[in-house]
Amino acid sequence: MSRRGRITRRLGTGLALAMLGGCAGLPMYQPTPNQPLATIRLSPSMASQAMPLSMCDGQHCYDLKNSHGELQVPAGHRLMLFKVLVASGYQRMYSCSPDLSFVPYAGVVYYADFALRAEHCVLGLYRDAPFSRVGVMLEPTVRGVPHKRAG
Amino acid sequence: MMSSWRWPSGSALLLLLLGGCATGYHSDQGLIRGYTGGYWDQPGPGELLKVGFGGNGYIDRDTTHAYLMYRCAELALQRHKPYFRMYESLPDAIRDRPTMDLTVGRVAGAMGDWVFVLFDQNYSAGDLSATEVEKRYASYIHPQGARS
Repeated sequence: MSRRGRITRRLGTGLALAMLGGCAGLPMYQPTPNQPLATIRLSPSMASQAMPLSMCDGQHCYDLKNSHGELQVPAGHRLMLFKVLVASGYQRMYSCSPDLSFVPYAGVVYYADFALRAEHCVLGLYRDAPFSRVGVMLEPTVRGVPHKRAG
Repeated sequence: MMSSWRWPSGSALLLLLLGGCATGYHSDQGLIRGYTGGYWDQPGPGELLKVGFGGNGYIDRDTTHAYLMYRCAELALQRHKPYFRMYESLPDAIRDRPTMDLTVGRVAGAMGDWVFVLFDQNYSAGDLSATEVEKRYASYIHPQGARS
């Protein structure tokens, strides 16, 4: 199996374990001193949530704590970001768990957005681009932004 | 003989009134009207504004579409911008692939949609005229021609 395949498999296993253990909750990510970190700025819809995203680093999974609309993640190796949403809609419950993986670089600012549209939920991660009108650019290390059907 | 029929309680009557009709053109904020949905917006990233309309189970697709288009035009004119462009997603906005139409659908039974909007002072390809869009959908907002 290729290195990429092994990493994807480990991240997938971590995600599955995290979702199965979702009722118990995940430990909160706490950076170690002097650990290189990247920042994820949250879209307004996510910024109002205390724990808007979770991550797996191939070995462990953690909840990420929202601090003033931003999250800190460890830099230097591929991470899987995911969100588990269970909400009540109009006379229905729905749930979805979009995920993606990317390689955060120390000191770089990213932008995360989550949206629901026509029975799909989408998690997106972009690189901050303050000098463009759009404010963000595509992040080249992002892999797999699946559009999962809400249940 | 006394009738067993009774007036519904206040809360039941309120729920009946709110839940029994389609969402109108109004903000989703507010204790009473916001209960059934309405339009909303969120800033960013950059100069983008995310504009959405969330309805209830009674509103139809065409009306939801019209309300969202009208709201985008209304916001452009409030900002004194004659043009606006809509993007269905952030990747579309990054690649500057504007859309002329919307993909209105249901989420958990409720009709709704959203777009990212950029407002323009001068026309460029992909822009919509705010005045034209507002005129086109005015009949949904003012069905009896109340608007002059």
